[in-house]
Amino acid sequence: MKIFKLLFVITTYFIFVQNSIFASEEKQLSNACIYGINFATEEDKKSLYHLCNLLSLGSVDGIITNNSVNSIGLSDPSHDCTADEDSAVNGIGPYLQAMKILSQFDWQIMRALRYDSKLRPLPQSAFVLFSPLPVQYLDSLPDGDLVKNKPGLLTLTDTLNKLSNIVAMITNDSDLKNTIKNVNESELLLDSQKMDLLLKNLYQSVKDRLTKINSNYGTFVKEKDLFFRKLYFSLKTLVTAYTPLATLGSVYIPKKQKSVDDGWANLVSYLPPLSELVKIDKEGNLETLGIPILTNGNSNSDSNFDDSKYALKKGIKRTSFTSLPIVTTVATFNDISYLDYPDVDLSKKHIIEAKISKDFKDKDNINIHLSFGKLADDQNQQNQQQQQQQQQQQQQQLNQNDVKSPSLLNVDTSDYRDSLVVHGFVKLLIKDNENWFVKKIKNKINQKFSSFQVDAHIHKLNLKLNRNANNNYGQNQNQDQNPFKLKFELLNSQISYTVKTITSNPKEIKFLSVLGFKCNKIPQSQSQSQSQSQSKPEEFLCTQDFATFKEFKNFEYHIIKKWIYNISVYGTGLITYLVMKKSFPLIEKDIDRDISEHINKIVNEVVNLKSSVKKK
Amino acid sequence: MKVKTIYFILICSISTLLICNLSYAGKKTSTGCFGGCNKTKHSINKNDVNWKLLFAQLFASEIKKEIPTKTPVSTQLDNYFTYSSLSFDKAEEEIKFRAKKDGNKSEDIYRQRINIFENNKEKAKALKIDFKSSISKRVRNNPEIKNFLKSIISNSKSKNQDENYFTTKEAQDVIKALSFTQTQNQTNQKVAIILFPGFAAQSSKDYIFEELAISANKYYGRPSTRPIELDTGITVVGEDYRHFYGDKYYSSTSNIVDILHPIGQELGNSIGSNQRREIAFKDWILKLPSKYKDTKLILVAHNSAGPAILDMLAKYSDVRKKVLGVVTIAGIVQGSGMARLSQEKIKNILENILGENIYQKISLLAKKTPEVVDKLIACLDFPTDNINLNLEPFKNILQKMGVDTTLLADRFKKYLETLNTIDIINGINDLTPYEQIKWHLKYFNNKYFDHKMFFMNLSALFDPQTLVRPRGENPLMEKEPSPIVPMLDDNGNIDWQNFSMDALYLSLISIPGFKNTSAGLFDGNVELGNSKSLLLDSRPLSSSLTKKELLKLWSDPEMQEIYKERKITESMLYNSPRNTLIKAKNTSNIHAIDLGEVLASSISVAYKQFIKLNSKHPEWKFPRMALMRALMQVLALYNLYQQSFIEDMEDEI
Repeated sequence: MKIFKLLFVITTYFIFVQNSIFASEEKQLSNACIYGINFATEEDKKSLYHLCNLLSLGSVDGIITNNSVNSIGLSDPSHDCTADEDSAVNGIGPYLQAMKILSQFDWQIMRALRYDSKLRPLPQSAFVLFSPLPVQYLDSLPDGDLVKNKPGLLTLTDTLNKLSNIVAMITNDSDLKNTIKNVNESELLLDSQKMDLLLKNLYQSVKDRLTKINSNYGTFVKEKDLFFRKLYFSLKTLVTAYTPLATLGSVYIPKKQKSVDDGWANLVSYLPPLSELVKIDKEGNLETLGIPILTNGNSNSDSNFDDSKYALKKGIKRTSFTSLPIVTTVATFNDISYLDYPDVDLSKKHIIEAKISKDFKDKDNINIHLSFGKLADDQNQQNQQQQQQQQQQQQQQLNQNDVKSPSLLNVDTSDYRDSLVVHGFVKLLIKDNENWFVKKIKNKINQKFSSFQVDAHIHKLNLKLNRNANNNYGQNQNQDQNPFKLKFELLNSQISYTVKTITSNPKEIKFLSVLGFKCNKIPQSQSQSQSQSQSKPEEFLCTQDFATFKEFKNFEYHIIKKWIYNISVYGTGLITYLVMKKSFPLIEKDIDRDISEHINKIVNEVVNLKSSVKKK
Repeated sequence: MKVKTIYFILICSISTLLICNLSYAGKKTSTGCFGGCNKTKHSINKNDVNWKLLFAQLFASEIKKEIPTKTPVSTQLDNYFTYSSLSFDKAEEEIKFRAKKDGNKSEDIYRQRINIFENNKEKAKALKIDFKSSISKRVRNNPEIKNFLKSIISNSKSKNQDENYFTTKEAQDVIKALSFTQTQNQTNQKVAIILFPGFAAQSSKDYIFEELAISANKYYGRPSTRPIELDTGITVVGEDYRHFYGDKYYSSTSNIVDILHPIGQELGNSIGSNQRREIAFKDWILKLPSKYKDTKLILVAHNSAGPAILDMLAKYSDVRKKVLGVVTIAGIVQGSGMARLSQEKIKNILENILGENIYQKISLLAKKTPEVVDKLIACLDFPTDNINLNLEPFKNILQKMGVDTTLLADRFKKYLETLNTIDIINGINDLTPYEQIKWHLKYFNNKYFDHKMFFMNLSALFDPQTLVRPRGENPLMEKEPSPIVPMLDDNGNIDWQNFSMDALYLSLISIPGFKNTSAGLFDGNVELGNSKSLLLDSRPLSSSLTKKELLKLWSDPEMQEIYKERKITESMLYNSPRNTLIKAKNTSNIHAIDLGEVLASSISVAYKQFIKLNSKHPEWKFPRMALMRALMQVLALYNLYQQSFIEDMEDEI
């Protein structure tokens, strides 16, 4: 026992000494959970419990249903002795599984709201916000009714909270400090001034957290013989890099069961940028890890990295899909990247916004929205707050029955370099039922444009998860088709395309310029220029950008403008414009058709990447 | 010319003989049983009775009888009743075929499973009692059977009341039919149905299909359940069954048809090896009170009791000669993929601790010298003598759940003491598909089953979704709380009383189980195909054994003799229908019958609830009594059928 006591003293001493050495600037942030629910009466008290029951019922239903339906036969041990190789049962990717869980969750909630009177009464409105917030601000918030009438359920969360705060104190890690705060909803969500203050604090906190995350990139996260404290902070770096920055869930449920249709629910979450684990070479340079599964077999073996130091690198280096490429009518995409352009400013506060919203009227649909961009500056944030205020005012005016999809933070998606990029090349899909002439033309075009790359920049993606009303896992009969499908909502999506090619042929450069391409000389490194300047002609990168379908009007304006100034360009420019105008909607149509599969592939890559990071 | 003429005459003669014989045979079978039927025995005709359809018709009818008049019957039927005209093996094949066309994803399999087993058109075939569709005319026309069928139809029109089953007219009709015999010395036979629980039964004082067992106890003047003398939490010891079923409790009613139920310790170690269990079963049967001396037995085996009962019958002729037949319910007949999975996990753990191939070495050694291995392995078990259990936090949680924790530490210690690693390893091994298929190929034939006996298999089909979302909401879509979702009560505390440990156990084990099941046909413990007799199963062995297991089965020296004798080649063993691996003439004593499926889990089909947390625990709402009533009618009808149509049955018993 004495030895244990001695060890404890030594460890504690070292922790404090380490803390005094490594303690960073004093932090004022605390991981906060703010929730608002009216809790004035006994009825309100029950309503909270019923809401918890409703959510846990939906969650367990989603998870169990998905697991039971999507796991059958995946590990059938007798498969290895059947002659038929195609008989292996296929699983579905994590993205599709997540969608299934969401769809099932939603189905169960919608069903319970309408028909399960045992789950009544429910709170009319409630919200929960998880995010880092300044301690000072949190202290200024008055306690709501729930804290005053603390039920037994909260005792456990309080205990956990206290425990983590003790750890935070020992490790001097203010990021671990947790605050759980209940406020009466009327005091926050419906009070524009208080909401403004919250958004302002939230913005600043997220900005600070992103600055911290940015500073973590490139620092060691794995090294042999890491000291306890270093190891702890290395792990924390990894965890922080993948933990949502802020999440807000809000719900409005009409009091009367019959008017459930007037309700709505929203979930909005802000995620740090995707990152990958890289090794640091002897010179201190970051080198892409080369996750084996993503590099088509040309990967480095794990043993090469065992003695290396590792660091997190912002973004995802251009990587090939492990599964088959995404084939659309006019292009084939086979690579993915994120923040991998040479001129991307990695010091910016990149952020991903994910929103899920539900209008109870539209009971078989869920809206999903993803944005890739960076945290907008203060001014925009002000605008955002103003919008928010307007929304809240409208909310009150419209009897709280409009679907709200509030953005807590303004995400700037204007820069294509901040988007998730899917890389491919022009390749017209030749269908079996097409006549020989069409096939020949398409072949010619494919030959001509085979060197043309297409980058699809996903800035915003709007999706609708549509459940077949008469066909879900909750019902027993007529399971003839998938119970849901994902639809691509072009209207609120923002995808831009860049078509590019590298050429050194002056004639081709001229021709491409006429077609509207911008051709810029590729800068060569000094060493290259010394050794190859004489043998290799100068290369030009010719690019042309296209906005999404809905923005073609702007594009048309430029074309016309171009026509006015240079009539000779008109013909070729118009042809290009027409071809592209016809083509990109086709891509979007194809995306719409197979959106689930496409996103599944992309998410698969990201998940593979994340699991590799975890493994390392 | 002469040669041609001779050929012509020869062919004509042979043809005439054949045609004459055929028409004679046709006459013999189509004569019917009017008048002289009682004296004339006929051999089994596969088309005589469609037992699966018959059982489904009777089960649906009994469910309808249980439902109060104002409640819609469709809900109950949707929840528990299923019927497919496809046999289980063909259904599995069809599901795989259709799913493959759809893309062969898990959800395609799931969808096709529902399309086949929860198809309203198919179910409609069995929703009405129509004996014309399930029983052939020649059987229906037998006077005893005709009367019995009439009584079933007349009884089906009345609703079930809360009365003792044995006092109902339906039960009296069943008793009459079940005890009917045509032997020269007797006018009726005494029959006892013994219910054998499966997995972990030694720890339970509850009955399987308790509604039936309790009603029999009451009817024959016994207490409704056996008094418990000792309950250590691991082992239950009931009042001596020879007293309970003997003369201790006087009844004026002669027990012509009785229901008996071994409990607790009498069942041996149900998680141990079959060998030990079957000795316990055998002793229990042979030591029954003297009043059961001439009673014929029907053994109803739930879950893992199935293999032990079959092995017992193959080994002990003195038990065998008393037995009319066996009914397995959700039985592990051809092994379970879950056992294989558990075996793999134990193997991995042992090999991680003791090094590679240790499992194989232990298994080999265990077969030769189990005592030595027991001692060797004992050192791996917890040092229970010195263990100082700090169970306070655990106790507090359990107390909140309403569990009596006073004996917790003591029970836990006893549990650790009772753990006999090698016996558990052997027990799991005995339940693997490899061992059970090997057993069937070796023992399931006339050599070991030397008189006519029936083997009925009733299976359960389980959808884990039902755990979280009990299906079949009423028209208002209202339902009971989900048994695995911890819900808060109006005071904000967790409502443990509506939380089911059974359901939690099933949800934990069924997902890996479904992963290992090829067509999603699974009851939480055993795959549908493996719950049926090998003689009914046309699937090749390659569809349920791994490549390694097939090779092992082929190279097993013990089996080589059998293959040689039956002219089975390696390819035949792997790929031909498994029911052809035993020649039909070698299994003529065994009448294998498929009773089809019900929608339930392996637990809910037999128990109200296996693990009870408190007095107000949630209960599975499966219509067990309806199932038992239907089964009793099937058994009664089978008795009438075999008495009249199966040759020489009574001479051999």
